[in-house]
Amino acid sequence: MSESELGRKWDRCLADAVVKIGTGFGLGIVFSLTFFKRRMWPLAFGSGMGLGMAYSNCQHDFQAPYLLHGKYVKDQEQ
Amino acid sequence: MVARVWSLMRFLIKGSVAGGAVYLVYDQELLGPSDKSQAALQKAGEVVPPAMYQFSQYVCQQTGLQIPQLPAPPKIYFPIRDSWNAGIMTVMSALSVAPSKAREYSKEGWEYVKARIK
Repeated sequence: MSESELGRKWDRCLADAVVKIGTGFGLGIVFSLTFFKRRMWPLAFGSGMGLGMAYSNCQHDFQAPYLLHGKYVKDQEQ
Repeated sequence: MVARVWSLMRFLIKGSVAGGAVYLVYDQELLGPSDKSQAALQKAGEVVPPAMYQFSQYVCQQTGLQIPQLPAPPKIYFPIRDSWNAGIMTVMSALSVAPSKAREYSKEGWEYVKARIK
C-alpha cells in the first residue's frame, strides 16, 4: 500500500468517523427528546454505535487487500 | 376523551419526527459505507455555508438588523503529516545513534577528567 493511498484511507476513516458519530449523536438527541424523557443514555448509545460502525469500516478498509473471500462449493457426487 | 386524543396526537407527532429522522439517515446513507459518508460530509461542507449566509441575509431583511461583516478567517497551512513524519524520523535516528554517542561522550569525559587530574 503506497503512502498516498494510506493517507487517503486515513482521510476517509476520519470523515466516516465524524459523520457516523454525529449521526448517532443526532439520532440519540431525537429519540431522547421524543420517547425517553430527555435522558442521557440514548445520546451515549447513539454515539457509541456510530463510533463502533466507523471503527469497523476503518478496520475493513485497512485490511481489505489482505482479506480472503471464500465461498462454499458443494461436493459433486460422481 | 379529549385527553386521549391529545396524547394520541402527541405520540403521532413524536413518532413522525423520530421516523423522519431515521428515514433521513437511511436516505442519505449516513450509516453506510465510508465513501458514501465522506461524500455526504463533502456535500455538507459545500452546502451549509451558503445556506447559513442566505439565512442570515433573510433575518437581516426581515428584522432590519445589520450584521457586521466579519473578516475572513486566516488560512493556516500546517502540514501535520510532514511534521509528524519528520519528528518520527528525527526521534528514531536519535535513538539509533544514542548508544554510540553515549560511548563517545563518556570516553571524552573520561579523557577530560584524566587530563585534569594529571
